[in-house]
Amino acid sequence: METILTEYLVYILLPQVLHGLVWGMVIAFIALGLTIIFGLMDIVNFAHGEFYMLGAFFGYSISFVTNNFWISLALAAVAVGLLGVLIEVLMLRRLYGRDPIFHLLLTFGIGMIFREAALLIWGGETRRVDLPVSSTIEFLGMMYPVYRLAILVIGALVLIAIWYILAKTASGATIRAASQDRQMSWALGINVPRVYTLVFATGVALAGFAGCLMSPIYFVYPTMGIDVILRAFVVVIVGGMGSLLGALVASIMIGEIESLASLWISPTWAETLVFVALIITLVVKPSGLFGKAER
Amino acid sequence: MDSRFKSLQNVLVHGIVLGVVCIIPFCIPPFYQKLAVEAICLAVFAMSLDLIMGYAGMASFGHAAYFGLGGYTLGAVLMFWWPSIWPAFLAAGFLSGVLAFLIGVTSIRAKGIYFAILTLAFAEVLYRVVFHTYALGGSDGLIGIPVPALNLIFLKVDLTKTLHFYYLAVAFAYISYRVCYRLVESPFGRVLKGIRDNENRVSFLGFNVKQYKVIVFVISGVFAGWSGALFSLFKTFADTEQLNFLLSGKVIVMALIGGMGTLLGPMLGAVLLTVVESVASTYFHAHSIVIGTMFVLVVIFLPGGIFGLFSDLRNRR
Amino acid sequence: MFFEIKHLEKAFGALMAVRGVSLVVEEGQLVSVIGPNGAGKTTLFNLITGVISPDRGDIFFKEREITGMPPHKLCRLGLTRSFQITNIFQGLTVLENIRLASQGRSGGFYFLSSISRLVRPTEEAERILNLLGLWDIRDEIAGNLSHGDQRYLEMGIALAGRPKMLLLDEPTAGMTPMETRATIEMVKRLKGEITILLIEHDIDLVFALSDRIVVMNYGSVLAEGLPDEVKANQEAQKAYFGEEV
Repeated sequence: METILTEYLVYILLPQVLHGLVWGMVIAFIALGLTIIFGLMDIVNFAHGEFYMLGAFFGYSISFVTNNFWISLALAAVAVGLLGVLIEVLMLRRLYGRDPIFHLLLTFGIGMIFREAALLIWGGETRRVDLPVSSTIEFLGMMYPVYRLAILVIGALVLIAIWYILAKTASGATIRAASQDRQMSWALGINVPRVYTLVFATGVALAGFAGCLMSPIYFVYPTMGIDVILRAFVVVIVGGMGSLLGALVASIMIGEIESLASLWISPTWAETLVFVALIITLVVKPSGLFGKAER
Repeated sequence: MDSRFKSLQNVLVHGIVLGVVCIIPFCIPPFYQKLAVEAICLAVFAMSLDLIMGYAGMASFGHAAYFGLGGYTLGAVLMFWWPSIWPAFLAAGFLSGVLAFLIGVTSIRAKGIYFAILTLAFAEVLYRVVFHTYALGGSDGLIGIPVPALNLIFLKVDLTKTLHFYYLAVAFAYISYRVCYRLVESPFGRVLKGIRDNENRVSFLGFNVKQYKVIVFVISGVFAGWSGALFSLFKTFADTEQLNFLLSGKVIVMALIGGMGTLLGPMLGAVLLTVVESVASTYFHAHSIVIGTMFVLVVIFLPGGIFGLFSDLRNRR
Repeated sequence: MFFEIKHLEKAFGALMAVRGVSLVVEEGQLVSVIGPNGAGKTTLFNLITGVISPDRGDIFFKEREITGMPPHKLCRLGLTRSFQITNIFQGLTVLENIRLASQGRSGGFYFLSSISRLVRPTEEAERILNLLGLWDIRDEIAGNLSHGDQRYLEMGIALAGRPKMLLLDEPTAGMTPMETRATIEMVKRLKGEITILLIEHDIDLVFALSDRIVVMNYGSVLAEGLPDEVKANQEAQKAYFGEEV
């Protein structure tokens, strides 16, 4: 009896928990970018999933040139970041001061364009990317892919780096100041537009990085952004818009809910469960678990 | 004297427009006739969205839910219960209204972006539920909806002929427009405009804002449901594409490009978009990029849409 | 008792914004609430008008308990308010602003009638616009008005529908001296018909209009009474004017 239980725990439950952690990590990357951008600029970036998708496609295409996964990963993230700079300067800037509904609509439209452009450039078929590391390793009594563990490690490092930058450095303080009080920061000499551009570019670069990082596992197709963005919205709202801790906690939660639920119910119903969680959260606490009330 | 002249002017304008619309099917090939019917259904759908987005300022990112539900209801009634149009149509409007009520009451407690995302989440749940319901045809949807003749007491209309359906659609669209116009110009509609302008202050004027929002949301849902029902009746099928996020997004694009807050703008936007999509897709694959770009340009440079452009020009005179 | 507040308390986290405030207003009186910034005056108004709920205490209006009642219900009962930061309908015309406000008092949804059929709000709007001197600019978009005119409109919205009690939050904020004098005259004409609770910083205005004055600081009532009594009150002077008298 005991061995069946341990077998279940080790061979079925544990992998799912780890899968959930990995999926949660993906969502966390997207959600963090989303929530930082919202926290600073009051903009909900509907196109965030598409930056994720473009990161994956850029990585895919670049790897034909460089033949090295890790270099492609770095270049892809930078490319997405540059695209973010372009979008922010050329389009988003023009909408500051307008009714927030237009921000929603603009980023929504940009997402549409990106999706269709990707479809046009790369076609609709799913691309497969080879695992840079295809071995498995023994982990807590079972064999688990090294790459997935690598993702967890890399992800954790990036998150710690972000936290460190925001909490402990001068630039981080600048960003936090600008998000708390725009006018005052401007008056104190902080170049607010530049901070905006930087933060937006970094936020979407994070998404692009995640897209490329995850591409060996989740593959690459033009609508991959839509799947992630919906989860990311759930996370950001459940965690509270603008709360980094909330985004992180909620990402892991959602990742685990989906992963573990799919053991017993079909994946699409697990998906639906995520939305139900969102609905319940918003009904009970309209500003999210950790969120501040609407500005 | 002046107001009588104005109403004469009104009747003339309405008459001419309707006249032109009625002649159109004789000037275009059958394929475009079919497209026109679809465009008219989508036009009413876009107008229903305008009621809440353009007048009350509520962004709904899941409006396809009501459109699709209307279509499925009509299909289900005609296929499984009672092969007669009026009950099916009424049921479609009723169920969509009920859904709008349930979603509205739950979502309206949240404001702004949270409301928008809630509407999106509800629509996604509905989409997945319908997608996995075998009784409703799963991902294929309800195929082969029977199209009984329309019984108008003195006249029996054969709706399998596109031309007849076209006139039915036009009548539906015109009546819907008149009703919605009456609504937004009424004292009720003034409150909606107040809510869009300064929601906060409206409650201090003595209005229960939540009630107003729920009511207009339900009305919007009913019209969306009716337009979806008409659409499904014409296509003789109801599928999950009438419920998904892409359609919810498309109708927002239609409403914005046409001009929100004008009722006619979104209708125009729907027609325009349907035509552009159809024309562009025959010439090259990237038709959605064209639409997406148009949308982005309108958002940035012409937030009032096409109709906004007209009223700008009129004001400058 | 026409209007009474009993031991109202409200804390925001560690900050006690309103501590044990009690107040009585007789019908037809004009009572001013004065005090330095942050004294809790606007919070008091927010508590009364249902924007926030008090932690403790009760509010009574015309023998009814109205503690925590939402703004739209209070308006129907006859208690309205104007705002310190102009809170008008920027996109609507001056006439539409007032007409909407008048409509609010009449209740009912009026889905399908034409606005011109609603005679009472239109007449009411005309009356108020004339009272405020805004009749000539009634078709102007509210957002285009001068600051002073916007403040008048702000008051007009609260006046529409003949409230029994009016809470005015710094109505002359940002007004020119001439506009302030006009406002004083206007409020004088309203006195008696309408019971008024007034927050103001302009001391001359306060002493010219008030039947009673309440001085607040740090969330509590420092002094309360007839204008002359308050003038003589040392503590009030200290709090409000510093050490000078």
